[in-house]
Amino acid sequence: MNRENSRNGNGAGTGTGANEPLSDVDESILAAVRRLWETADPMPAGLIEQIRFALDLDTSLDLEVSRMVETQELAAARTDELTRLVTFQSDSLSIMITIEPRVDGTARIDGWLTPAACHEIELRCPATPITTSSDDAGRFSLDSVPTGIVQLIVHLSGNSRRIITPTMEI
Amino acid sequence: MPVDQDQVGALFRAARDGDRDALADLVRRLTPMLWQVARSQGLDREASVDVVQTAWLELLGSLADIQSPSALAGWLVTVTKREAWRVRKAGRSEHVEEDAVFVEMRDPRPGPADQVVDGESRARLWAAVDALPERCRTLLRIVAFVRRPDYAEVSEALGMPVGSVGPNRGRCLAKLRELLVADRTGGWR
Repeated sequence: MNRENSRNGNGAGTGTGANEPLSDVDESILAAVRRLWETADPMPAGLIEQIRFALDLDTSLDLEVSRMVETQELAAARTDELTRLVTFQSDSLSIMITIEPRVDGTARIDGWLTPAACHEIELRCPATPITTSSDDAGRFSLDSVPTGIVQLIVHLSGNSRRIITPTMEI
Repeated sequence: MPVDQDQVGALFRAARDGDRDALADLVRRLTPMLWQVARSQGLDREASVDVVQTAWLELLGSLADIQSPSALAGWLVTVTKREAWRVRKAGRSEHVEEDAVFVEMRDPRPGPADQVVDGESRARLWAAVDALPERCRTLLRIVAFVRRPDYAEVSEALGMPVGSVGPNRGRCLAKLRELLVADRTGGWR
């Protein structure tokens, strides 16, 4: 009986066609379902800002996205904090970095590119970007990296292609 | 909502022409949906952050190939699913059973006095959503975050095309309404 009432009440039982406009009742149910999931499984508070920062790039150049494929935590040599080992992989380059927290609150980043080559390395921070170059063995290091969100960009030498990573929290 | 649709259309065209503020606005509008897509693929929160972000980064190089704002939502859902699959395959995320979230949420904490009624209807809704078949639960979870004009493209991207016989929005909503009505005397509201 209840079921019949509900169907007659909002005309829902008849159409399962997905293109039909939703009734007010269905709109309100979907809105409630949305609030439910926003409560149960909320987006991290800074996610939107983090993505905006990552996308705020010069898109006129050729971009290649490097995916984060592995993260590990290692005991650090000099502080109680853990050193992180992060590996990124894209079609043409693999980037392995360690992020080592320093007692002064900054971090040191050591990196290794494969295949090994000299490329310009840019670490985007919300403040000023930090730049360096990898050596012939593909190694590079960045010292006194401030805490916050950063993004690594490798400018491949010899062409306009740039490898971009997702952001990381330092 | 036509106004909203026009706005998104204008934002989309501006973003394609390199307007970063327009792109940032699209991020604000579409990321909540992508978050639910990543999470409903069984990824932990950390991996979900990476996957959603990677989908947006990939978009930077592909904006010119995307034909319409609705195609944009479908494209992002497809890439988010593909990236989630890669992460799972590499064993890089702890697998999270959707049920685990439900166990945590099954007993919503009592809210302030003026929210008691809300709390009660929320608990009923939880119980009803929880009782849905898994495919319906997942579909409605994502559809609840989809703008109406994007619905067909997103359903397609989710592998539940609009014309399919399987779970679709209409059927799943009908099931949910039945469960809500069966749960207590009145209907929803």
